[in-house]
Amino acid sequence: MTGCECKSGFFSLRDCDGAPAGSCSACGRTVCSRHLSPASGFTQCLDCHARAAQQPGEEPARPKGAGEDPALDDEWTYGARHRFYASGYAPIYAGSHYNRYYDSYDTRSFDETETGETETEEPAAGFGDS
Amino acid sequence: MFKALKAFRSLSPEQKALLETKKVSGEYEPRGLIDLLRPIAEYDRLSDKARTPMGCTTAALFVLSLALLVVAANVSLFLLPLPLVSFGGAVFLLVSVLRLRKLDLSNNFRQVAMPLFAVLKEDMEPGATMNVRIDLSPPTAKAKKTGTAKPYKEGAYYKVVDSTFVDSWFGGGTRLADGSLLQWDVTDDVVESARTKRTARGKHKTKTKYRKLSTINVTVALPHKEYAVTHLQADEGEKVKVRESEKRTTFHLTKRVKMKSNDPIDPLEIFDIISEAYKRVRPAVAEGSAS
Repeated sequence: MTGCECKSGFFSLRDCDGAPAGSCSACGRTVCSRHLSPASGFTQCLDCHARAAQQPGEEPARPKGAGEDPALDDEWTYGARHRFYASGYAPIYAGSHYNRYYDSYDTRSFDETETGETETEEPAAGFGDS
Repeated sequence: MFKALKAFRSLSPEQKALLETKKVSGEYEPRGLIDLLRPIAEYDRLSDKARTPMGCTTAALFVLSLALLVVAANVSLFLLPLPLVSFGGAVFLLVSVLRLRKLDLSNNFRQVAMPLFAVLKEDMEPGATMNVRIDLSPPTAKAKKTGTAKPYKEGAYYKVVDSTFVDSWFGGGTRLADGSLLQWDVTDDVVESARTKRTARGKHKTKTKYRKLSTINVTVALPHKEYAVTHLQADEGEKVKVRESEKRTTFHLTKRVKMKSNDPIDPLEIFDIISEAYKRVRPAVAEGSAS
């Protein structure tokens, strides 16, 4: 894969494949300009920045009453996505470039299931053959 | 206060028209819709914040005007401009408060609708549009009142009057990037309870309490090409209807959220109910790829 390694989507994930604009200093993935986090000074991807920014008690889930409203930009959306996945929703990924970065969310993917099965079976087959 | 007035002045004619009609309806790109509504939301937030202190200042200025008038009448008529200036300020503030109150919007739109648009934007193709209908007027607006019950007694309250409101404030639909079709509708049933009691000092005090039942209806039609159904049965507390067609599996999901206030629901409630459809499927095996 030569494009952006971040995944777009909220309820289901899909490949971004945007033109690379840099790499994330936290996870090392190739990232397009849209998925670089402005709040991190464009050094981290939106996913890593959301994970780092949302340590317990750091950011309220939602403002109340006349308090500050969220900016509702990509930073907010990826923060909300991280919170939603962390609360137990396992997103579906149906693209063709599975990335283990999202394993911590128990991402459901047909390719991943197939790969996982193959990975556990292949070494055993290898031992038997030799 | 000045921030709220400044925010109002900075609104475009289109945004001012939305503020007056309190209705948004049509086809919008999510980003464009957020950009259109954000200044209105900011004005509404500042207006909510400013109204209470402005009301208190108005009352204080009226009292001050009266006091200064008494002082001017007893000391010197040359002091007369002082109560006049104070009275003028009080009238200006009163007019401003009434104007802000008239343009008050439901917090639902900035705390529930806009976060949903931001999330759906992520699941839509760039440039794709969504059909949206939002009623921005407060949930207890006169037009939404459906009835008032007969007064009754309850404990220390010698008079309780319940008024009911139906607020079908939010609906819409769109096609997501994965080919799924999504439709949603949110209706709030609000009960406003005005409770009057007599205190130990003999004063009559009335307070208003709210109860709210939000009904969220969501329809998600997932294409067979992308998703295979894993289980269909409803979990405890859920209401799910499933319909199979040649190209899609359609989930009709309903969730009811009870609250003891008139505050907006958490937008997570809508995210949750949409996700219930996705929890029932897995990625479909592409033709020819199965081993």
